[in-house]
Amino acid sequence: MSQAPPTTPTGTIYDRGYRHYEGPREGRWRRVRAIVVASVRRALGLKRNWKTKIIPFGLLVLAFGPVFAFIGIRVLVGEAVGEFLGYGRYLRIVAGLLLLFAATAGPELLCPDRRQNVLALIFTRPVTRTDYLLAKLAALLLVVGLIAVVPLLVLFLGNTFTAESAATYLRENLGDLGRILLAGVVLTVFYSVVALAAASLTDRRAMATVGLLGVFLASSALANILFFTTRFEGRRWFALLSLGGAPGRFVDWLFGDGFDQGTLAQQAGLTGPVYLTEMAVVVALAGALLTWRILRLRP
Amino acid sequence: MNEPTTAGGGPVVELRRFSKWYGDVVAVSDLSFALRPGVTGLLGPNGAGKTTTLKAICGLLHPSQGEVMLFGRPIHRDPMLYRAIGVVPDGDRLYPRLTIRSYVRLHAELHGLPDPGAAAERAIAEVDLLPLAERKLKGLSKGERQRTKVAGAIVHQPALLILDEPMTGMDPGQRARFIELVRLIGAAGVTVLVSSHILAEVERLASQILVLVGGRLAASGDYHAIRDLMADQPRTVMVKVSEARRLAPGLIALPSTVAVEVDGDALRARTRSVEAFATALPRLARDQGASLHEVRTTDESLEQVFRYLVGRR
Repeated sequence: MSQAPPTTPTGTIYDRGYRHYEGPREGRWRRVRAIVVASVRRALGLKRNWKTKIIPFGLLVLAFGPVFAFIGIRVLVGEAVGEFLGYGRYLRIVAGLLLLFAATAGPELLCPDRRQNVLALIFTRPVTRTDYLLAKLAALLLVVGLIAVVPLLVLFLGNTFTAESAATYLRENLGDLGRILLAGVVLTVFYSVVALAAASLTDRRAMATVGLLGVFLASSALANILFFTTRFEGRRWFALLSLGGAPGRFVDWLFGDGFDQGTLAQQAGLTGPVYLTEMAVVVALAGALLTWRILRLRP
Repeated sequence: MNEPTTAGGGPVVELRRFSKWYGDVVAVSDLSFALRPGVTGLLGPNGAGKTTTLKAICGLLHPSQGEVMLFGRPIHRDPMLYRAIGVVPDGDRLYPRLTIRSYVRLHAELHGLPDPGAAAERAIAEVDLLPLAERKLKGLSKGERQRTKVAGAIVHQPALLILDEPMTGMDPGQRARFIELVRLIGAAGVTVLVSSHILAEVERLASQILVLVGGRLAASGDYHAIRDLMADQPRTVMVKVSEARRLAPGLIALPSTVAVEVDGDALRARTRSVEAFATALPRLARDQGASLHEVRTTDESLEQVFRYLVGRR
């Protein structure tokens, strides 16, 4: 180790920039934003190799593709092509994609931080566990909302501007716009919070994804089995056991599409507000679990 | 929340009777020390409580008993203190798919620096990684990953830098540059705490040491001073002299001398008092007509101190 000669002024050390930084700092929002941006990139596979983009971009193509195709045909052919599926029906289809998207993106946001042991790096920065939780949740809400809300908004705008009279279409269908936003927000919050809660239980992405999908499928199967194999007055409430069924039933009720004949939802006869309440309870429980898991994280 | 500062002249880090236990296992017991600006080495055998102590200083675990104060404030659950702290944890704690530049920039953003890009460039340059800045972390050597972690830790120019086994995986050239960097940071008034199991590195890095053995503080301070306090450990003095055999009887007659070995022109004496030995030696040499060519102690190394402290427990 070479020592600095005695004549070297001590100021040269400070000139190299080692003095403690006491300048201005951005606020808490900037720190949260940094995690949000990094998490959105990770969820969408941005700045990563092509394999990580397959699932998120595949689902985005499935969600947006039919909408753009329909609008394109409407532009070419005009209103003669008729109505697309209808906002409610399309959102029911998108709900399946939302579940898949949340079940893959949620674990992608939480699990690697524990698996790759980076929590010590994060929590020795001025970032609280609450900041971390809010940032992860915001990131997932953004990417899930991208599928839940944006395709239908694009479809609504497409319908509006390819109609004979945009103003008339807008006036007559303004209620649909409100329903699109409400349903999109409800489904986004439901799937995002539940997916993050599942991801908080393990540091293995695949286990969280498979576990979440399994719980949704198993709960639907259980609800159907219990409803159709029992005969008593209160069996209609078995419909609420189906986690996967609640979002679609709420959407059907909201858009007035009615439940399919012979299904559990149709025979149970429960209304949209009941399913909305069920989702609110599930979100509250999942949120509590998620918060508890994040606050007790030990790097 | 006020910016962390040591303007009052108090210690940067202060542990007051800190203890940590996990169930029935006591990891650290009744640990008290204070750190001030400069480089301090944290030493101890495996299981001595080094990592527990570092985690407590970083606020990553809550003391079972006692207090851990940074800049005069309790660290636990006070994230604003992290504005003044840089931490390099042990192990591979990195996002493998980020580039060096994006990783360091992310840390600058987490610290809320107004120009995170410029801060990241400066920190990357400090650890000599600018030519590799666009490389992904998963493709780096272990030494390069360590330096990346250091860049992430100094990107906000902290007043307190905590390094847990920072030189793991570095090649000798990288180690030399890293030691120089840490010494400069310490010389600039930053408080640096370095944990390492490689004593030779700590010896070059830090004059102040903390030695943990069995979860307790075995010694603290300048290791030369600690060596002086090891009165029950005879010290070895090597003497190169023209008449070694004639000088030996005089030396062995000194009350403080434990043993003397003669090997040609070299004479190795074990003494309980270097001071008494050094006083008597020139007189004896003059009386015997011998010429002294070299006199030096040979067991002043940090390793000697460490072995002694660990062995006496």
